Amino acid sequence: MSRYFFYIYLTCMFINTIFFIPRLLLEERFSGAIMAMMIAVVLGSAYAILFMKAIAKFPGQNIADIFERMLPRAIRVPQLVFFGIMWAISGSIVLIAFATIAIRFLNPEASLTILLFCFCGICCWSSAHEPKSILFVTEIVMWLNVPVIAYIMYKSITSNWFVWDAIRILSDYTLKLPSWKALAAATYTFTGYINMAVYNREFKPAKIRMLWLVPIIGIVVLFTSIIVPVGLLGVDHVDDYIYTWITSADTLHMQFGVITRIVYLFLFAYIGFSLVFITLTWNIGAKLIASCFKKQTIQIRKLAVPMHLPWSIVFAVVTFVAGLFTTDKMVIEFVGQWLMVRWAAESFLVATIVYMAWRSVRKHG
Amino acid sequence: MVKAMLGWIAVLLLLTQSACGFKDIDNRFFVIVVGIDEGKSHPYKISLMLAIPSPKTEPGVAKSVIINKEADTIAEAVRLMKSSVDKELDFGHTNVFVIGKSFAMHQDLSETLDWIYRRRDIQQISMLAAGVPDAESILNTKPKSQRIPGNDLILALSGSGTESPYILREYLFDFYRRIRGNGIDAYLPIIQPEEDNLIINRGLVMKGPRASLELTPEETACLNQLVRGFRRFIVKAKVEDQYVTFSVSKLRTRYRFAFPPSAPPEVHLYVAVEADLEDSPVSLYHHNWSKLEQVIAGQIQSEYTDLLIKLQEKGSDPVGFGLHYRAVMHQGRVEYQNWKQLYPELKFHVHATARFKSTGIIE
Amino acid sequence: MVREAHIDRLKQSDDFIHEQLNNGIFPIEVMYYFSLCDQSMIKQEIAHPYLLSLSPEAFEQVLHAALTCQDLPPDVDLAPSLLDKSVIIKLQGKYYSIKAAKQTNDQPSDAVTETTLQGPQSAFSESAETNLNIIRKRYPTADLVAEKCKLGRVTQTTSFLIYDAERTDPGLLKDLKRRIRDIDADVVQSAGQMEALLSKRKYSWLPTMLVTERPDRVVLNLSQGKIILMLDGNPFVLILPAVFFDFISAMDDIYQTYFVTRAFLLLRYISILITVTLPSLYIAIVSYNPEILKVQLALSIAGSRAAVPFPSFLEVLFMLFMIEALIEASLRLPRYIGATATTVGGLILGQAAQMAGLVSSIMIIVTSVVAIANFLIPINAMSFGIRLAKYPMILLASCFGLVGVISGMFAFALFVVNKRSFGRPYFQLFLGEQNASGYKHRKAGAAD
Repeated sequence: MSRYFFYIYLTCMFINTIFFIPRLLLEERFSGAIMAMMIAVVLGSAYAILFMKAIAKFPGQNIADIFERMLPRAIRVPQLVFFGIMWAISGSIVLIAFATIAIRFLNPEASLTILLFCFCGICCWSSAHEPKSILFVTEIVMWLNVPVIAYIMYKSITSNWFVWDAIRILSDYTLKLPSWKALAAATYTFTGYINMAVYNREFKPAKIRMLWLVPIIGIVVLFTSIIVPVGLLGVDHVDDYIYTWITSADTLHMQFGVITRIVYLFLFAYIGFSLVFITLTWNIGAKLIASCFKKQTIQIRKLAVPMHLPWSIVFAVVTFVAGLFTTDKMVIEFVGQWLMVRWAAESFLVATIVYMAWRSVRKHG
Repeated sequence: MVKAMLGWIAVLLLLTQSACGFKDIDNRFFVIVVGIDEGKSHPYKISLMLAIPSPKTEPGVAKSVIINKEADTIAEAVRLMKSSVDKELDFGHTNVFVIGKSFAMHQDLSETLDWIYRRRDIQQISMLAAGVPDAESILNTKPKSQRIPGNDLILALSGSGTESPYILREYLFDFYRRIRGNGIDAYLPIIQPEEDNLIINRGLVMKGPRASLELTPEETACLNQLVRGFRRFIVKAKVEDQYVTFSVSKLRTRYRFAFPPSAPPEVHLYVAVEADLEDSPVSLYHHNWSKLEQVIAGQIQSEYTDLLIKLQEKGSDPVGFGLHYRAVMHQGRVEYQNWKQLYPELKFHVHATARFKSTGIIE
Repeated sequence: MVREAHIDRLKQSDDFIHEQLNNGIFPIEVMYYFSLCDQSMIKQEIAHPYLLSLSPEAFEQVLHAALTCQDLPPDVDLAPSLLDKSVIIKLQGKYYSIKAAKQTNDQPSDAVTETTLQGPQSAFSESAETNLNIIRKRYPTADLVAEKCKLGRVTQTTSFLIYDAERTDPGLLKDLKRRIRDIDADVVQSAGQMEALLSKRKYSWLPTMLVTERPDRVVLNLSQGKIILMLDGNPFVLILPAVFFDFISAMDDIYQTYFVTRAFLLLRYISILITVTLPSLYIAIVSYNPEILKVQLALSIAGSRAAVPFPSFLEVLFMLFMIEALIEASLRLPRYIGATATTVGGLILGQAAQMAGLVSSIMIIVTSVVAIANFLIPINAMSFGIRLAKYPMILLASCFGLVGVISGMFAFALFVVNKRSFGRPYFQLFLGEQNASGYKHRKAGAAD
């Protein structure tokens, strides 16, 4: 059962390359990004392990249940709504980013409206399923896509055209104090564990084993996702490229395969990851907001509609409208600011859960 | 019931939309090679080699169409050319960009080729080359044995066909980081038409954003070994006053800097090769093999040193010593400024060692 | 009096025999359908002892001592017993019924819809009793329970609910019995029809119950705790609940060596992927992103499509229609014309269509690969279901290209994963569950 935790964690970790994290960190590569990454490894792993140990004290309950037991309604409802919206926004960002990428690289003549409509429709439908199905489909997508991405990362590091000197130039700039933006961006890689806040309900034995894998996987993926673009695209002008990782993947090629350009393999795998990620986040967001209401189903003319379905529809509609009016640059700037807000919210949530766990241990001995 | 109806309405709406980018493969013209030259009345003259598909691909039946246009920018030239063909131009398979030599020598390649760097459908692994006398003549040459148009260029430049030590390989992404970056310079292979064939055995080295130096074939081979570590080359040396050729199978190069006090800085290049005998009028089996190894090493040493000094005189650095300097020094931003003053005074010391493995199947 | 009216109604049919027998001491009346009853058994069980009985009480004792003799209460309709292959004897105003069924068609046939290389080659027969015999022979434990029920108002089909009482989930059993009680149908004739009647939802696409004719599969599933529904007159039985993996596994998997099994399982999954996505991938690559392929392949495809006037999705739909029509027609044709149809369809239509410039040569290969890959699925119901899956994908690919294909695969995966077969997850990577056949068990937790 604990393998599902790692699937969710890995999804969020791999999605960070579409989330413009490499671009945000590489913009500041000469002014503290490396230090940001090192701090992020320590901080992120600490958050993850603390949170998992704390939530293990509440087996079979998600944060809505925990808040219900420990907080009065006036505080609980705004908090849950806030967190629900935060989760939904992260899914929406990935949706808009990926629709833009699909248009840019796969199909420039497509109209953004139709593509957004397709994505929003599919994700709205998929996020309305029950958590167990979503976890199973995450498992399947992971097993198919992670080998592809691992192969691409391996091929990029062992490529003949990878210039290690460029990385060594970067090592001169290690000891610089990072900005909050870089720190928030780097810690985002580790944020996968926070989805357990709601999926904890599906895990009957609440103990997740092998938590020591969390920092190890984190270090490997985070550093690879920064090192590879620098080694392949040159240290001076790697921030010229807007979609850093996609262009890095484009520099590889399989001479003896059916598909010569590896960028297409990369994009296929990432469509899968993005859809899974958006499904997960919108599902969690909808469930959190739905848990503020007493009734769990609404009756519409003989159909018993579960409470979280209308919220998925709301997310889809809002994202669709937002996607029509945003540009590349707006999305990247929004992401930069949003990551800092998200980091603050995440720290607050972790602190709250740890505090509640401590209090419940004290109460029950 | 309502859900089903909504579903059908959505499907119908989708199908009636025409702006979805659907274009069949037989309504596209694939551009295989792009040639960029200086125009007479405009800054750019762009030539495109368009492939005409045929259901049978036999050697020798490749058909293509060459069109060209002059304009102020590459994008404008492409748009003008779109109206003179019947199908949509598709740059997704553009594998080779040929840049005329005079264009490379006079224009700033980091700015004038911006169209290539910026467009999303140009592959980062497309290859660049320089064309002598100009790019259009390269496109107009049609070798007889081609199966599909432009195939000879692709096979030769990418190494999937012939693997020759005289053909330099340069991809777009590598060219971009060299031409814009600090501490390493770009290079291009030179293609020359000769009757119906294309000869690629020279190299063109840039200094900064412009071309500065054309290399002979022997120097091109040395550059290939230094920069790309190309292993399969030959070493021609004199043994007993006759030319003897050795073929190399393994090559390892490393270099490091040395800064002796009150003396010019030095680069120590360590080269290790393993060689076999390929062509010799003299029987060498009973010779002193360590003497042979010294001959090989000496030849390599002199070739490399000559090339490095020639590059240094012109101020080009395609091997990447500048980048390595920035990597090993820990001074931050000033490293590159220091390097610009350091490079003209650098002393090259090449230490070559060779291992002689066999004389082939006869003595 | 009511009885007489009933009997008169039955006399309308010429195969209803109503005889008066007299052995000189007391008369009896015998009624039966000669088409349903075995006359030699009647002579042996009834006529002969009747001849030797000296008094009605003695004959009554004979009747009571006979197997399957039942006293019929006075106001019960005789027709159901008569139609259940019994003989009715009227002795001194009292009615008795004895079973005397005529056995027809109870030979086990050969397995035709599902074959193995090295396993048992015979399938079930069309008689429920013979089938029960076959199962009991292979699963000789007292825990094997067979409950009888009659389905269908008009057909009154005898059916047995068979399960292993130790291994089955009692909740599942209760749910199933409730669903059977709620069935409202006149005619119930096949296991497949039962599947439709027992499912809760009206619109379903992939099967959640397995229809099979192989005894070895039935026995394996019984040992895994599943429930079997067997109908008389039908060599196919229904196994429930069934998950996706059951439909993709052939019985050969436990009869072959480990690597061979795993390799073929992998082949089957890959072929499912191919059959669902290949047509849509063709459309997406040819019409949206031909730069994915190598330049030589792209030019050769462009060359072969040069003669075709239609856009790619019309070409695909045209060829798929031909293949679906061919497959469906070869099911329905009489055996004598069947071979001709395949030749016509396969050779002539494909080649001729390409020469006429209606389809490109690549499309023919794509279509044949898709058709062949579809038939790797061992169970037909699933094979038909998967055949349908490619059409929505073609629609998505025509509208959105590659993004549509991958979104379609994701949606398909989610749809299948979300299905529940009697409450159990339908599609999941079952890592760490034990295999009832004991196949390559490792001590501490085997992988499926």
